[in-house]
Amino acid sequence: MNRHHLRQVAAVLATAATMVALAACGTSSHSSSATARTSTGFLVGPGVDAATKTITIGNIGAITGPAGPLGIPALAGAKVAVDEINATGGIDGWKLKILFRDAAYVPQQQVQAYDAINGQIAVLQSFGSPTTLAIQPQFDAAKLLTFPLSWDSAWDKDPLLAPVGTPYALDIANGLHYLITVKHLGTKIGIVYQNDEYGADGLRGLEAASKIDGIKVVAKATYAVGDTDMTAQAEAMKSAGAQIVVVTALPSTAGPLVGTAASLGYTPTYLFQGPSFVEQLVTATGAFGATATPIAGALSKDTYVMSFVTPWGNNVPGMREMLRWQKRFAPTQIPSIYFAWAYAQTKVLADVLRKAIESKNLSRAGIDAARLNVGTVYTGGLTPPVAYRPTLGPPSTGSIINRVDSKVQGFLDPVATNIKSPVDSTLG
Amino acid sequence: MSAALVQRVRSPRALGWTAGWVVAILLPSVLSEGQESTATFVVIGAIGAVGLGVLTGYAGQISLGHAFFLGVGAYTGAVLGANHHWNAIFWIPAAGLVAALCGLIIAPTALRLRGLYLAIVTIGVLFIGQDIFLNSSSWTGGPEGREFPIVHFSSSLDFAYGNTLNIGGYTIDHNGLYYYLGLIILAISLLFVWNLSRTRMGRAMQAVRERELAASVMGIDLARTKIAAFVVSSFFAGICGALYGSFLSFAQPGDWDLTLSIQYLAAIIIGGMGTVMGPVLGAFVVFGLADVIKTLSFVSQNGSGGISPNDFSSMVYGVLIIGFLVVEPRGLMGLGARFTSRPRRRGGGATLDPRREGRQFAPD
Repeated sequence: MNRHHLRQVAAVLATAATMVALAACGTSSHSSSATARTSTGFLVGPGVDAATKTITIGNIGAITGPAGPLGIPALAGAKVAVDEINATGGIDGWKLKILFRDAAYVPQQQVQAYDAINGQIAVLQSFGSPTTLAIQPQFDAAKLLTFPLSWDSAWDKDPLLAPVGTPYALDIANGLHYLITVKHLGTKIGIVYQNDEYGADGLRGLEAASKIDGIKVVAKATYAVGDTDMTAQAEAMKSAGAQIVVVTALPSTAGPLVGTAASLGYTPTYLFQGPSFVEQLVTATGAFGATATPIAGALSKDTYVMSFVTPWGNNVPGMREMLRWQKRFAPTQIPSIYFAWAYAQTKVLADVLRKAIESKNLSRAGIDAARLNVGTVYTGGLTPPVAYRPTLGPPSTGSIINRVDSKVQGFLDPVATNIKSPVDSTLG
Repeated sequence: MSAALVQRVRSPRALGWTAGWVVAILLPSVLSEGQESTATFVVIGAIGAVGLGVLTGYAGQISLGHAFFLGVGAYTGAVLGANHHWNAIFWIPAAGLVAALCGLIIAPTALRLRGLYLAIVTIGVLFIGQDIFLNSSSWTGGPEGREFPIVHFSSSLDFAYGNTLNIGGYTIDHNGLYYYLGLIILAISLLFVWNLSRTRMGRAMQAVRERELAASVMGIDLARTKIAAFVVSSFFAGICGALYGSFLSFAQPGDWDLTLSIQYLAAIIIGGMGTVMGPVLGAFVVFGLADVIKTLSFVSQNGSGGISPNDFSSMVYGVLIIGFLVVEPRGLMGLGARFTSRPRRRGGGATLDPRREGRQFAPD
């Protein structure tokens, strides 16, 4: 036997031996979320430091990449909420801390970021639908309560996910109900949607809405994330004669769609899914009074935006309070619905932690249980009321509908709050 | 043990290999959980890169369709493992075989095309593949994506989250299990490619890479050689895709895109084309560098001041590709050869001859 053969045989034997060794030992299941009891009688889990009375909130966001324009204000909103809580004495003396990792809206990076911080956090905020789906089996196994920064309809089927807001599909059904039966703006509906989980959710909403009297779905057009040429989609809507066009997109696509359609002489009523809109679609910097964008006119004509939070500057208690703290901790922040929404979500999260502190149980199981015991959380009108039930289902079912108006702060004018469609029940 | 073998084992190159493997085996014990998951992505990525190394590095056929074969492997694994409850010992190889079959179907396009033309055609394959993935909802979950099966060999060897494996007091967790499985498959892949490069077929591939006309005059069957390169490459891509999908647990058709293909191409360029270990080093740079960069002090993790880790790693990665193409086209392996060739030549025997290994890639 020559040395080449010897080496090959050795390698194969070594591999086989490793496999056998692995198989012989066998895996065993164990829980990684170790808990301990403190001298003050608190049961604490990972991410809770009883000595300094600090609770760490994990936040895996997207401050770079395609969703950066949404992820940056979202992180800022969460930070202001935490700063506010800490500045007012914390929750019964317990301070909050955010441990942030950027995953750029890439599932693989989300997994890496999760693995990096999993052992150091008590509760998690996770940005995006495909990214949160990639870590779902992990936080389920780790019994880690997770607040998704997205509104996928799949969320309310997982007992460890605590979404704040109304799921995308319900939003679309509610919005169409409002435009068709309340405002009588037309019955021929078209949809332009992103070819992923987020877009599919918009489609599910449209499917449910198709039970509305007289509605006719006349055109469906899809696109891939990153596509900016919307000529084919705009043509499809125009040639089908759609009176209302549902847009389930990101702003980088919604803008070109509206612009292209206008240049074709086509100006339907638009119904924007929340993430389709960003303030920068109206003015260059997103600030009020800045240079208007070329599509500002077309957008202000007849565009409705489904919103998970009340518009910036709206005169409700939650918004007034938020603006007060925003001026103190993030004075340069321009009006942003993502900022407001992440702020509201973090306040709901804090309410859950308050409940867990009351029951002296800050283990992961304790925090999860607190979510179900917290009852209905009112965010001072920032979002529809939030209630988590053991039977699961969406925490909110009403929708806030705004109309784009370039003459108001934040460019959104609320036209209806807590709208509910009779077809909602079909969305479970 | 023969004298020749003793000499072989004592050669610096063999020592380097041994040291490399020892480090790779012990690595998870010193890494944090986050670094371990990055290391696992690197090892899994390296399997795919070794595959592309055969096609592009050895046979000189530029392919931008690698992500398509990864996707085929991942979905084969998902359908067999999750829908039909096959054991991982079957669905992992099956993923490779189905991807190889796709490679066999696509390879004939390479027979008439070369260089940039082949690159464009393989992009076409990628785009067609994306469309098929998007519209085959029952296999791929359609645009919404689907979950991928966790590796499961038996009730006592299950890679599920929260499961651990104890070997003599050493505990291996979920990430570690995937790391070692990837490492074993990577070792087999490297052994295969190392052997292939020394066979008649491997040398034929290298001849085709250098100049097709000359190769065919020497009696090499161009069609057979190119098809073989495609099949081998897509087999490894399939295995890599199946493991990647399983470790990631969820993917959408849009994830198997041109960017992913380019990452693999970048890995073999940075590592060194036409070498056995080059793709592994390149995979470390492409899939692992971002995580290393995050630990640098001037990189900001939370977006307040400083440069973001993702932006910075993209820049470093771009500079590295330009740098290697301009200064050292033989990649990291070429750099290694440059620094070590002189002392080794004196030793005789097992030298890493830069004229033989890590040859500059020259498309014609």
